[in-house]
Amino acid sequence: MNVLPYMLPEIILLVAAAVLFVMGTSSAPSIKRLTPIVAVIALLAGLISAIIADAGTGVAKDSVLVTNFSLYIKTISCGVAALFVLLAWPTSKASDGNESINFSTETGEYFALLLLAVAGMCMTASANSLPTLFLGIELASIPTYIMVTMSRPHEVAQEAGVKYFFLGAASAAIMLMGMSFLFGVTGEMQLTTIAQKIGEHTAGLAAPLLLLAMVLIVISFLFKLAAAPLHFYAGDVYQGAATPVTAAISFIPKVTGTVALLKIIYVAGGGAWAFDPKLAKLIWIIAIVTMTVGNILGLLQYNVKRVLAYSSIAHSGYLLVGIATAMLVTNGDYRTQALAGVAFYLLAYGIMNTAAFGVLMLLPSKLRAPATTAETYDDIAGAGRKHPALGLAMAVSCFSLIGMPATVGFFGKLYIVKPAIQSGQSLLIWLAVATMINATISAAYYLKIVAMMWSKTADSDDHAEQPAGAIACIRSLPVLTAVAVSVIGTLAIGIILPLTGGLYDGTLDVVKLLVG
Amino acid sequence: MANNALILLIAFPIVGTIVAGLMKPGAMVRSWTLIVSAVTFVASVIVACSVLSGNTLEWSHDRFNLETIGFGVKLAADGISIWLVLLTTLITPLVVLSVSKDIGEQPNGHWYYAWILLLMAALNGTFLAADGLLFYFFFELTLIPTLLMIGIWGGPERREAAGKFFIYTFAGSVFLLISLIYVAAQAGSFEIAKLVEAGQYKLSATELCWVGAGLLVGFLIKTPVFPLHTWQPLAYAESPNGATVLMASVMSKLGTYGLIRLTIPIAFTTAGHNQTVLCIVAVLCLISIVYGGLIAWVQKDMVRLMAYSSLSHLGLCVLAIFATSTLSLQGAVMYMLAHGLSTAAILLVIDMIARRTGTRNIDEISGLFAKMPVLSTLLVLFVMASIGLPITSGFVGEFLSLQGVMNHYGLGVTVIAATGMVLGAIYMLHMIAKVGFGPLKAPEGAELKDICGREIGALLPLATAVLVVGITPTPILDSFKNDVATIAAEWKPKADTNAGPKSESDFFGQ
Repeated sequence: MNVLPYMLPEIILLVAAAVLFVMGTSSAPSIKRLTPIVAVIALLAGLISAIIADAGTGVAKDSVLVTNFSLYIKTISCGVAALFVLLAWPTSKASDGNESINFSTETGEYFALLLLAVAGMCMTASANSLPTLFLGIELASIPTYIMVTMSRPHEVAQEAGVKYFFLGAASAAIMLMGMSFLFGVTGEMQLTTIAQKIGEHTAGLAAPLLLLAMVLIVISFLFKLAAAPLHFYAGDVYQGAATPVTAAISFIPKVTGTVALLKIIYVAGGGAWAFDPKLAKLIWIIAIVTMTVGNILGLLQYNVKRVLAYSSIAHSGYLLVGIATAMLVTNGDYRTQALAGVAFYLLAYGIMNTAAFGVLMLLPSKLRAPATTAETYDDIAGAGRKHPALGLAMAVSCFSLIGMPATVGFFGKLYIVKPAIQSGQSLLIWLAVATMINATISAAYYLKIVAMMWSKTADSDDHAEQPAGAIACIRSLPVLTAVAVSVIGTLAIGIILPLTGGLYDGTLDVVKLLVG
Repeated sequence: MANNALILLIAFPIVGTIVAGLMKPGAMVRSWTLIVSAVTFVASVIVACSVLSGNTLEWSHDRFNLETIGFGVKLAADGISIWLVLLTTLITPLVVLSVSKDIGEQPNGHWYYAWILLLMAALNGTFLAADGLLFYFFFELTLIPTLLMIGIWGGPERREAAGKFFIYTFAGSVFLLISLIYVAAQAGSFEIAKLVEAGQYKLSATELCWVGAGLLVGFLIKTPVFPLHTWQPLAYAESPNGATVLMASVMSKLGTYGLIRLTIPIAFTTAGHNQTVLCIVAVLCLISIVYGGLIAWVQKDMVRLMAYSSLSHLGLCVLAIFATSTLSLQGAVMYMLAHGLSTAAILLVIDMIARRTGTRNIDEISGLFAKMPVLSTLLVLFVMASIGLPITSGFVGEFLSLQGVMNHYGLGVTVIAATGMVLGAIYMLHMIAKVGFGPLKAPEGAELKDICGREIGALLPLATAVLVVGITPTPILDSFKNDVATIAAEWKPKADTNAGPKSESDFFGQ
């Protein structure tokens, strides 16, 4: 069976990226103005081609295996990335950026890099051998290092980019080391074949070496997820990058890491989820530590982007809860549900998180450079009173990140903890309890964001006509569109229950092949 | 038709919320909110008539069900829930009437009205939910409008108040969710009837102990009961008046209603009977009754006084719920209604006084009786209802609750519980005496005019309700007797086989 039609998203994105690199050489503003349009069209084309494709029981060719799960990941990657293009849409006259991001002359390159990263996500989702998996992950990662660095002409961005790059390179090295051990133990490259081998000879293979290989690979993926204790770079990198890039790097590595983790864990279980319990316990511990560290450090921050960085760490923890549940649970139905919960949560996080970053981009910064749009609590103070729509958008996003009803975040958390609780295994119930307690802790800092948006400041207390520019709102149609789409999506999936149910049933279907 | 009216009780206010959010602040949005809430009240009266004539109403729609996880959008009204819905829909329009100009006409004032309607929808939804997850959905949804009302329009310490309120309630309710999900695994669905069945026949005593603890914590925080009450005085005092009224009179009933609807039937029937947990709950309730009463006595701020008074009163209510006989449950439900009516009324009056004098401190005002006779007379009536004077609404509920407590726990506990009534009389009369009598004293700039037409409109329905409930309690008690009897019938504590003489349950009956 020809696998190419199922790889269309990757092909479209890579071709479009190449076109954008060429367009980037032109310095004419009219060409620059075209670049985001090309990027959005490419992403939408990728989205549509991923939606209409149906891989049935999976289409395999050499080192590629496209299942409906891969197509689902490609769909949400392209969809959410289209929002990221909107966030970074250049609005200046020279078309070299907007209030939040400054591409200097590299407008085309920026969007090309974004498309490459998305292609990397798609590639990871299609990978079925160790080299393709590695290449997919690196294709998703390397462009993000450059995006962080080029997003602002300021040393904090350089620092963030360098930090991100070196740590990312170290994690890639660890990943390769693990993969070479895995190859050494099994003598195979293809994931499905490795899984078979492990399944057949669990006792015969060198068990300690296999565990070492798995732990090394898993650790490098956990770095992508910014799971504790590999989270230290997150705060600085998120803060240093321009806000549209921060939004992108809170989503792209998370999806890549999660998908890669699911693939390698499926392999580690010999295709039958029969693990060395040590590996499962490791994920269990890291899930709890990650949630707790993320949320507690989130409480201490002053910079909203850092808050969202730690929130992103906490959400990686929630994803790991689903993965740990899938590894530890004994009942196959609950395993499917846990994995579907993870898949659903990726979509939920992508939508609700984009809204929060979008709102930040619409508010100006009161601070000195490099901040150009809102970054600290001071920047957003009172903004909701002046612009109720923005205040409500931020409230919806924050309530969804907490997991309140009527938002997609509620169902996200519900689908994650439900299989853990219903399995009745005490280890998993404690995991669910920890998750919910963490949701409570996180409420404190999300509420602080909402509270600051609606706080009374000196100029909003005064009911008289405001002098122009007191708390202005940056008018940028693309960013507004991104915020509107993500807020409406957050509410729609949380309220229109047939939609929620349909999506969840869809994710249940697509993860069935993962369970095998 | 009446079945479809159930969904309208939630749909009307939600549509109203959206429209109000799109309007401009001013008189229009006020009228709109008033119309929506009044129409919802009428709808709830229609539903109530149907329920009281013996029907059990149900509403469900297959398209909204998430079958994969056993979640169904299913509403039902029985004798207990319909009274609480009536309480909600009666009080909401009165709250709308009493919204002050400096909130309603601010640039964002229309959102205040929108949140009132959303809160109304969520409260109705919680009372009507026949599905555990739907109950939780609405239970949590009440937090959002309340939080925004406190946080945006509250007093100087509103941020702390809103945060404390939210975090406390949310922390409690996550355990509620975990328990519900756990029971649903055995029940195969989140439908409350199935959850109850699973609690009775499928779960072991150990499981029920944990599930019961989870179901308890959330509701005891919401009610609240000592020592989980620390969010309450601050939240009541810092909220804008409308939010305080809705929180004190209706939202606190979510806790007690949840205990009756979920906690007791699922986890504390014969199978899950757990003497230790019950003892702990009883002790906490007794502490709440006495401690709340004593602290209320020394409060200067009238709203804080009402907060501690609620702590004291609802302590007795929870105690009666856990006595779980038909009699005590009837008493508890009646007490919930009476407390809702009198608390809402007193808080509305306090707000009227505060608006005239600019203070709620009982040391700074006195002698108001002479200047505002009508308002003060109404205040006295409501205070009497709160104390539990015969022929007012408070008496029947309090009496039956105490009787139920007596039958179940014996004399010692009842004596302690009854001190709550004595303390209630003391702190309430203390407040009246300070504010109403003595030489006229009020801060500078106070406009001491008597009640105006709009305020009469807000208080008269409550005064009528207080008297009607007080004078003819029998039809009300009868209307939910069968429903509470079903709950009480499942409750057969091993140690307590004869729960008092049966004939006494008809004390107010035929």
